Amino acid sequence: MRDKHYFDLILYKTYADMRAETARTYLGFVWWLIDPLVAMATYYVVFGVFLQTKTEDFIPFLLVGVAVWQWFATTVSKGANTVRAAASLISQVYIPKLVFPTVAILIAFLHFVVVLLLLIAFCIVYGLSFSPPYAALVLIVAVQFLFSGSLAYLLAALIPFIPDLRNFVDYGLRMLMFLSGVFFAAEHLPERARPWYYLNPMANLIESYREVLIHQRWPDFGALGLVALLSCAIVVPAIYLLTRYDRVYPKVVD
Amino acid sequence: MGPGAKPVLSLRHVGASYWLRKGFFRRRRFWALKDVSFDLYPGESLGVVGRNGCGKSTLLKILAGITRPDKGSISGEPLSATLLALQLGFLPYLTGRENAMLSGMMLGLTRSGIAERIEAIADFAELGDFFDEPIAEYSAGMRARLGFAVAFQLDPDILLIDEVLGVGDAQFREKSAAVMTEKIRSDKTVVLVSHNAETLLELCDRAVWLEDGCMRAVGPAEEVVTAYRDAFGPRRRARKRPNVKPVTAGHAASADGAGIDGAGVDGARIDSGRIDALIDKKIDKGTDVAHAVTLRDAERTARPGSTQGDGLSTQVHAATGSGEKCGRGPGRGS
Repeated sequence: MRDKHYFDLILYKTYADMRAETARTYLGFVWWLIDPLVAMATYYVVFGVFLQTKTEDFIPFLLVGVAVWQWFATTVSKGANTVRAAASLISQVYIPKLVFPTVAILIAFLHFVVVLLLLIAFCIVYGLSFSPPYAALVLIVAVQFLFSGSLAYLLAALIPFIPDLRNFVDYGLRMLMFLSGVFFAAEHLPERARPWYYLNPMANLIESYREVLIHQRWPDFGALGLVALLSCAIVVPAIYLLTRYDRVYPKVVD
Repeated sequence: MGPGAKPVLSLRHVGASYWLRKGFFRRRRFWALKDVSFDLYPGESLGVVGRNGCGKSTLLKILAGITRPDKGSISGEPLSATLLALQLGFLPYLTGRENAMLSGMMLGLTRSGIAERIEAIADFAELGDFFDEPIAEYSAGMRARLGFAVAFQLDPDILLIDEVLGVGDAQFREKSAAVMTEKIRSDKTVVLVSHNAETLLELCDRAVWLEDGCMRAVGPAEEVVTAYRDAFGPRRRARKRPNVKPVTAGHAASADGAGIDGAGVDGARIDSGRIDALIDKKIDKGTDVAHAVTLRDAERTARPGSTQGDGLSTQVHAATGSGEKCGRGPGRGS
């Protein structure tokens, strides 16, 4: 009964936050697409034009990297601050703290679904063919959902206690972006650097999307499985913390 | 009703503490509530009196289930207890209707429950066509009316009220205070926190007096509230407690405007919460605002005859400090 209520609350809050976000600006919904496009244009000029990167199909290559990365970065950075940002709310009424990061995770996911559909349309218009490996997309998206969500929960649980962590999130994301192959392919890396490169879950995920969308090949399922396993190892303690300290957060964030 | 029946809630030696960061690894424990014991009986209206920083807000948070006590126990059947919070979670770009849904659900009403009451909310808030406009376009008074209309739909087993009785302009304030008073007087179980002795005397059956996180007294509202009022007749305090520092005029004035029968400022009750929070913050930082005198207290300077003490008022002492033990006091326990 209560669980059903909080489930309803998550859905309505997700809807309300998205409505508020689009109602705030004239372009509203269009901003969802402007963000990745601006990022894409910048990287294209820098890497494609100035540095003459020799990657095949560089535009779709870049689009995939940027779109996937933006979903990850939005989930983690928005989700991380949710419990602390809800300070005034949670000091007036009891709401399970799990609700707040979940809403942020869902909003970022819905944005990405729209971006992904447009990305697929672009790839087909560009001349890349629609092929059976596309079925693996569902799995790749699910694994990334789990991975970025687990980090969002963990940071949301910790940041009220360690506010300084918030700054490290931004540094961490900026560093990780350059290590995830958003604008270069693994084959351009020196041979001995590659095992290290593939320790990064996001590098594996971005490459999986490219395998499917650009090369029409099946992704590395073993790597995806490891990322999923790692995500579970993060999400279990994160949810434990959020429920264990559910009624302590109002004291800490005030 | 009242003592004799089985209590819905029993608090025994309840205490609550906060950790104050003092340095990189240094923390200091501050007991906002040290030792509080009382029973809450079905259908009664229990008043809570005490000055700023005495632990009233902390007590309400524990009763509402927002935080848990750090020591002592609360027993009773699992009941819903909700703090009446106005304009909770309002988002400026959503319409009145959407905000009513969102706020109502956050306060604990089910989605279908709030949907059923949405027309009643619209009627009560007197918003007309504005109900479907973004609340960013509302005046402060309109937002206050909507906030009240939503919160008033709440029907928890135990209703917790922190100073909020009526909001908005004069006409709406009267209307909202009237329905709220009716709700408190009904056989609903209510815990009402207020600075205003008259309000408590009028609405409550019993009262609890908190002082620096401890119980000073619990009993029939008339006795407890009268004793509290007499104890803080300023002449007595000025003599007994030379460390009292008046707050600045600005603070005092706004704190007064936030009173139950304060000036007709829109949303004044919410300011009251904010000012309390401000003052609480200062207490956290260890300053002496705990002994702040509000303008309302100052008014009492003019009232003669409050120097005659009774058993309780002679016990007035500044038991500040961050210890978790309560000192003397005849009213401890129940």
